[in-house]
Amino acid sequence: MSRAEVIFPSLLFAVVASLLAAGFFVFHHSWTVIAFPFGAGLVVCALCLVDIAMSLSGRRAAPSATDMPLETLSPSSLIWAFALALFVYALGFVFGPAAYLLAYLRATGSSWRLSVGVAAASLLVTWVLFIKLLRILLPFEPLWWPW
Amino acid sequence: MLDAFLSAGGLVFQPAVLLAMALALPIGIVVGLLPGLSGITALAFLIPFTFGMDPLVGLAFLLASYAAVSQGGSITAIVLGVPGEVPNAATVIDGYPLAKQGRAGYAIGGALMASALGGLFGCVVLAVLLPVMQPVILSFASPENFFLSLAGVAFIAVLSASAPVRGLIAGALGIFLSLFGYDPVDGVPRFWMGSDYMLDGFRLVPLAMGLFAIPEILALMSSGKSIAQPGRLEPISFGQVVEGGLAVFKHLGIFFRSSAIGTVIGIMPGVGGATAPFVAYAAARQTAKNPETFGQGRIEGVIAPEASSNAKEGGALVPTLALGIPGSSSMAMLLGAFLILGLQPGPEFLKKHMDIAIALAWICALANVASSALMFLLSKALIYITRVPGHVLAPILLALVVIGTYSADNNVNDVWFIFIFGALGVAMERLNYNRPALLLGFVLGETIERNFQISMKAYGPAFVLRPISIAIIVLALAFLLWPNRRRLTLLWRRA
Repeated sequence: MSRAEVIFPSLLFAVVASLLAAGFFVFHHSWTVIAFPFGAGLVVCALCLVDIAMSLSGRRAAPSATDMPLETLSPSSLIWAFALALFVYALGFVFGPAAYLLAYLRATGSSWRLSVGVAAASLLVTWVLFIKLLRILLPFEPLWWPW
Repeated sequence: MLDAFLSAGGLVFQPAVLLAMALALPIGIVVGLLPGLSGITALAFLIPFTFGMDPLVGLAFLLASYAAVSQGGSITAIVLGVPGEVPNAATVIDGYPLAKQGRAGYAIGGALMASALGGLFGCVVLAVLLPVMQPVILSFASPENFFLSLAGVAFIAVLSASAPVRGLIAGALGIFLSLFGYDPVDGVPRFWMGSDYMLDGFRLVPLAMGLFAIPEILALMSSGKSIAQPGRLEPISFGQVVEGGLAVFKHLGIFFRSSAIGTVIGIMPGVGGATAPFVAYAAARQTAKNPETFGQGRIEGVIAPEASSNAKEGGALVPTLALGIPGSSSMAMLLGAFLILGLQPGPEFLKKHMDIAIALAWICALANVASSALMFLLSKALIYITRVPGHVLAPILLALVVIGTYSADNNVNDVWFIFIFGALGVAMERLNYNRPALLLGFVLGETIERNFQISMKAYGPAFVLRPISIAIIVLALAFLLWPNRRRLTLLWRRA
């Protein structure tokens, strides 16, 4: 048993129980409004307790031998994934993804030709496909821009 | 009836109708291949182009694109592990492991053939049932819809047989998360934390993208390797796709059962078509010889959800046309298009325009076959995506997911929620919690609550005693207990 197998359901339990408590004592929802979420939340909490008990008692089926092993996530991949949100915030939905692709591909050792090509293709897709053809209003301006 | 059938055939094979379908199919496929965009997006984009068109030409234009979107969504589910639409999430379970084993072509072939034939099945049923379905549909009220939706979530336990408690946690959590925002009956906001965004609760697209796309993208970024595992690669050829297509004929029982499940669920207005592929998948797993190998790349796990997913579209058209009650959100959009084109679906529509109604069934069937054929031609190129190095594919995919998710609702907060749900998705994947179960619970949660509240107000607690409700409960229990029948018989004898 790994610690995560106990920590994750405990976290779920804590979050759901806190939300239910907040519904009653902070938002003062009436019983008719909160009854159904209360029932669903109670089921989640009860099942989390069962899951924690099963993990602690070791009563859990071992993963099948044919299960594919999962890739270990590197911290740099997590940082790069969240970096896209920053690029979009700083440069908007059209230029942000293009700049992100250029930066990421160069940083991971791709050639200038590929990196610039992919960034240019990104601009083309956002501009031609999303904005012109699908008429989706992707914001050009940076998201912090006040006007 | 035969007259209407033949006259409908004559209407469909007009050059203008066929041209409209040919124009709409590529648009539907492009929308389907973009993560986050759904059939509703395609319909919303295409409806303005139908102004002034002949009604049948306009509807052919819309239905063809709609059919193609579903095909595109199943391809991304297999090749990238990212479902194009909610129903495609069931295809990820076995389709993506097949792609990882280097057998994406096999999975795509199975999916395309099952989709095409499933769509045909649904449309044939639509054409046959249209004149007689009215009393049957009207006998399903909120109690029946409540039990059907609840049974859909209960099947989650079957979907995650290796860790049923975790499957149930995921399903219940999905229902709980769907209950944020306005109460569907009283209109009072719940758990909204003072944020305007939360008044409408969590959104489906960021949840689906976070749960499914982010874990795969992070894995690709970390490894830098392609999706298809090196050393297990088969040469890319049409032969692989054809082999997958032929696999449907080896599993005809699963195909027909799944298509029937899809059609029946599609017919029920208010249940929501997202349930059909999950129920069909659970049924396929339930009746298989080695159910424990599902989830590791079984072609039956691709055939079942795909057949039911497309068959349900024909089914969903039945209440839309016969009663004017849309069977799904996309059908609600289509209903709007009918009105724009000067047609009013409902009992009168069937009396006056039975030929058009059957022509729509023809169009649905043709569109399914044509979009499958088009996808078949594109399949070889699409399989190459599984061989692109992870460090190139992952950022492109992430950018598409972010832009697609924003486009679904034009709301920046959706983008931040992709990452929040992404963290949840990573934890669930690593700890063997069933992600499709959470998604299904989320999709059905609001339906379950609404139907429960209406049933309680209309019938009181006695709503559970309605004959059709009892039949649904008995069938669901039989289905859930079937795998443990020997153990139960043994316990019964001992007692």
